[in-house]
Amino acid sequence: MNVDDAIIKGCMDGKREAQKLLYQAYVSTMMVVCMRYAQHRDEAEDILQEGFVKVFENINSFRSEGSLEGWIKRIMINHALNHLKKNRRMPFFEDIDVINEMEILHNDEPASFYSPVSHETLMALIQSLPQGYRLVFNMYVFEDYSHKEIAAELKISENTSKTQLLKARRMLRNKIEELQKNLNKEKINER
Amino acid sequence: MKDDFLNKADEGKEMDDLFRQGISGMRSEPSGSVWKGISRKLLWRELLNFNFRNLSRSLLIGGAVFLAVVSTVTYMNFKHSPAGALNAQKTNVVLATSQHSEAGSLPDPKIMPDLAVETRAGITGVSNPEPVPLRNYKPANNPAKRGTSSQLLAEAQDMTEISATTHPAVAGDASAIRSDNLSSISKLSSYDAQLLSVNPSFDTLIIYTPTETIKINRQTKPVTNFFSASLGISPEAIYYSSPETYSKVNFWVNSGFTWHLSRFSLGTGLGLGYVNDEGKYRIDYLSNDSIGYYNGVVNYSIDPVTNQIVFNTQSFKVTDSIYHVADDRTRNRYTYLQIPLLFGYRLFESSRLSITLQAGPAVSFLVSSKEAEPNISISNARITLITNNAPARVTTTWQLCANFLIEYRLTKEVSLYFQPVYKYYLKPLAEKENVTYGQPWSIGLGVGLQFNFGHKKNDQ
Repeated sequence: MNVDDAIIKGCMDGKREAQKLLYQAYVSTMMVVCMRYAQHRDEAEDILQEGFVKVFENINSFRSEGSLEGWIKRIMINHALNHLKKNRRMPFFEDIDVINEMEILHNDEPASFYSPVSHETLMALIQSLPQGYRLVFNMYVFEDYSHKEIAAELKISENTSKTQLLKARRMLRNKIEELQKNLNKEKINER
Repeated sequence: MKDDFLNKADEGKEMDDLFRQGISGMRSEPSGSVWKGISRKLLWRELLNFNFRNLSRSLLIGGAVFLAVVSTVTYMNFKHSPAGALNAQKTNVVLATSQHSEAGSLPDPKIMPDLAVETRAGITGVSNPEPVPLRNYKPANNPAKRGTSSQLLAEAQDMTEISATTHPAVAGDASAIRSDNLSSISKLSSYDAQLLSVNPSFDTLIIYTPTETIKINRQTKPVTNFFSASLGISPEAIYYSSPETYSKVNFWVNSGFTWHLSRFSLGTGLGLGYVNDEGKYRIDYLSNDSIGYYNGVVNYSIDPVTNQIVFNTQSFKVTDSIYHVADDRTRNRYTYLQIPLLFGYRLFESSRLSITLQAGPAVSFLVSSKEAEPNISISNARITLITNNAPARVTTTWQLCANFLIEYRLTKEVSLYFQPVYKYYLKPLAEKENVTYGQPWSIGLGVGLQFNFGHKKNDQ
């Protein structure tokens, strides 16, 4: 997405028209980012709204050396994390010791996908994850955080981060397999 | 075992890739209320962190012009006032003095000329080439005048307030005089107001003559200082600009409270505005329309003469479900609550009539909206889609208002007022994605009654 310097300059001057153009340029991609962290669409819109307010308030600190989209995305993610922290919705209660290891090991075989899965379905699957799993999964998979970084950001241990990721993957795989079974059943019924 | 398990956490890359790739191209549009919320929050933050540097250039220029107009009006008014005229002309006025018959009871004649203040031409006296400033006068330094009464001393000290040294128009080349010309004193009295208005810090001018001491008191000018409340209606025509230019007539019911101090006033109040605008709907529908006809055989008969079969036919209309698009314009009603803050300056005032220029900002809040449903009067229509194309109304708007308040006094307490009003909206009243609306403006004429309370006169 190309946003020219005039729009950024207008945003720095606090011009509403420029702010709206910037918003329109990035809102659809940032909405996806927020949806990944939120449990439902309304919550994602709340995060998006506050996130953009922060973007416009801090636009003067943006240096054109990096990508504007990356900068906005970073603000959105930080705000999403703060939003969840503020609402005390980071339940990382389970640590490595309480996990049924055998269960995980037995279920750790790769899942097979035969049908393409839509964006919306994948998003719904992410949103269906418990908050702790979802956070770690998002940060690890989409934001390329290391477990060390996740641990520092969320103030949890690295092991907890690894556990949450593993459990998130397992849950997602189960859900996809279930989805796959349902699709196959529908196909059989159609025949 | 534990380490093995943790290492498993780095596995499952195919799952990560599935989600990473699956969501990478995803786009999702939020509802329109998100931008409204952002806009509203930014506005509040701007208001809370208000800084003149944030104001647009046009607004600053407008403010400067407004201040210049107010300053000019104030200056013109001052120039035509007695004090202003006196200062502007810088002519000499003489405070005539003379020796008192009773030695030792009056200030030294050499001192008194310095009491001369500004005078108009024509009043002359005996000039004193070397006037002694009264401020330097000390009874102790002048043993001959030790008999001066304390009252006189006090008066003399008061007079320093009008000495040449404190009056810029006299300082320098004013020819202070010692006068025995009593006729000048009588003339002087006609200038008392001017004399006293030269310096507002003293109230009494004392003139010594050989026979008497004349005291001239300040002629006080009454200053009005009162509250007023008003109630009225104001129809106004509002002009919407791009992308479509059209106008609508709205109605306002206004109540106001104003504090008047001299010629200035500060007013606020509440206004309830009934605003109407166009609603625009696009209606997609299907209807069974005739697309032609055919002749169908209804029955047949055999012609007894020719023995041939005769087919009786009938014309049948053929209809089909045809897609149509229709536009419907409706009338939407909105109610706004407006709070103005108006600074006023009374330009003209007589016993019956006064004209006040008022200007200032106003904020309006959308308190209710009633958007009419589209009217679909097409028979056999099956509606497939109704799209509301009316732009969303902005919930908070700011305006700059200016008006002339023409007040006609029916009684001392009640006035009838007429108020031509101009409003300029700082932001468009409506918003819609990918459309940039122009800022509307309006003109109106308010009519109502004003009630004056606690009308009193304060001496300055």
